[in-house]
Amino acid sequence: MPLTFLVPGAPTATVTATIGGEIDLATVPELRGHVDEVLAETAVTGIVLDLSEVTFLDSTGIGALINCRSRAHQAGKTLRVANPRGLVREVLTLTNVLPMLTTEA
Amino acid sequence: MTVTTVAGVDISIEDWHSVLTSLIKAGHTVPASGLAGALADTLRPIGIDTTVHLVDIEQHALRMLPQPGRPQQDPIPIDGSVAGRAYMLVTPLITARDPGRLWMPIVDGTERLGVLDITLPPSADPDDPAVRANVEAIAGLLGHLVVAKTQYGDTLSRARRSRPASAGAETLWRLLPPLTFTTEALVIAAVLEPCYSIGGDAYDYAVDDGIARIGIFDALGHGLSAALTATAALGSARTARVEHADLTTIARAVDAAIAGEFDDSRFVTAVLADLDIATGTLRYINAGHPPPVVIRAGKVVARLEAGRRMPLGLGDPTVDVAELNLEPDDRLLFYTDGFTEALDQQNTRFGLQRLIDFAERHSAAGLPPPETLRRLGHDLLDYQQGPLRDDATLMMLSWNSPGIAAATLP
Repeated sequence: MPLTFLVPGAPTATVTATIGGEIDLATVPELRGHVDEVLAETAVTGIVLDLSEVTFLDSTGIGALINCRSRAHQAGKTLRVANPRGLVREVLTLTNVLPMLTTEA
Repeated sequence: MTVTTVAGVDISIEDWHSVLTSLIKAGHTVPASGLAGALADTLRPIGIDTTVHLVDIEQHALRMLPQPGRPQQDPIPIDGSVAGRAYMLVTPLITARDPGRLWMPIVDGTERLGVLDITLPPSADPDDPAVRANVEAIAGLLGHLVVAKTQYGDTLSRARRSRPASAGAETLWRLLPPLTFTTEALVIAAVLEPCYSIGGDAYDYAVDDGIARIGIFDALGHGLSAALTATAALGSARTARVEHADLTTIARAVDAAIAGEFDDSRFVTAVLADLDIATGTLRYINAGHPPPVVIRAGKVVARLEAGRRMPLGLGDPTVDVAELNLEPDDRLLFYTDGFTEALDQQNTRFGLQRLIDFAERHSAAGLPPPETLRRLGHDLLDYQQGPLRDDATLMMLSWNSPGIAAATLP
């Protein structure tokens, strides 16, 4: 299932991007590309990845989320995830990375 | 098949002794490709004929090790053959119609390697305990030689494959400890699928001075990239462990190695555990991994879900180490989510409960743990009915269960 990545039209310091579809080996490069694009905007100081419409997340996807966060920090910006649901929330909880990814930082 | 015998002359103690010493002597320099022939040459003078069969890595069939002057045979399926039964149960078997011919299990320690097809001369009674003991000694020495010689050439590896392996699988198989280990009060057995393309999963154990130091690992992704992550995890964990590092220090060593080597935030979920074999006390850390379960009388009585921290590679500073106590006959089952998350054609998960139910069914049949796991691996493949999406690993520890330990011995 293709990845969707929607950002609001009006520019804001913290951008909330709504992600839909599956985050896995196939779609991770696309996700990274989108996140990099948002973070490249000088006016943007942080990004929130809303996962409420993500239907699938595997370990490669988790790694990508962690990596996106790491790169945001390197750029002096913040990144957190929000609203993981169902199996996505489950897998983030099981691997014990949910606290790290949902902390405002 | 004709056998050269000296009619009416028993095999003497000196003859048996000389066979063993000749084999040891030949073993110094025999290449992998010469092992089957060397065995046959050593035994021919006392009228014994042998064919060596090694189990394929998927544990479906026994494959003849090529031998000079002997036509190559077709693989023997483990399910439904006498040879296969000898392999499954680690028990020597005779067929009624051919009483001089024995199927002897070949093991190294208690790792099942295959079966030796051995035909005795008429003068040797296969039911004579002395004859049996000597035949077992020969098979025992052969088991050690197979493992030793596997490192020095490709013949033995090649004989155990039905198809090519991926680079990741090749790397990992050579790195992992043997699939079975038995010592007093402890049996460790493992299985990994899909055999020819494993990548990110690994297990490890080291048993010394009454302590079993155990680990299960699941590196993010699959294929060769994941195999490299798993390799880095094993290498860093092992070198810390050899230096007597405690669980937390081992975890930190793996953190440092993975974060230091790869810049894509890759990680490895893992459970690291130390079991005191005398007391059954287990100390462990769970780094983002599906909780292993303690099975007692067919039921899950505990999960290793405390001692939690983030997966290895992410620098979690947490130092929680949890503890629990096993009881005699307990089984501790480690798994990776590739097992429980496998889906059938109707998209139904295999799940932990099914895994435990199937494990119980096989164990109730009194099978040795490596056989239980062999069947579980095949149960998974039958369930999935197609290529596995993710590596699936099981590792089972049976603590203080004398009957189970005895079942693994030939």
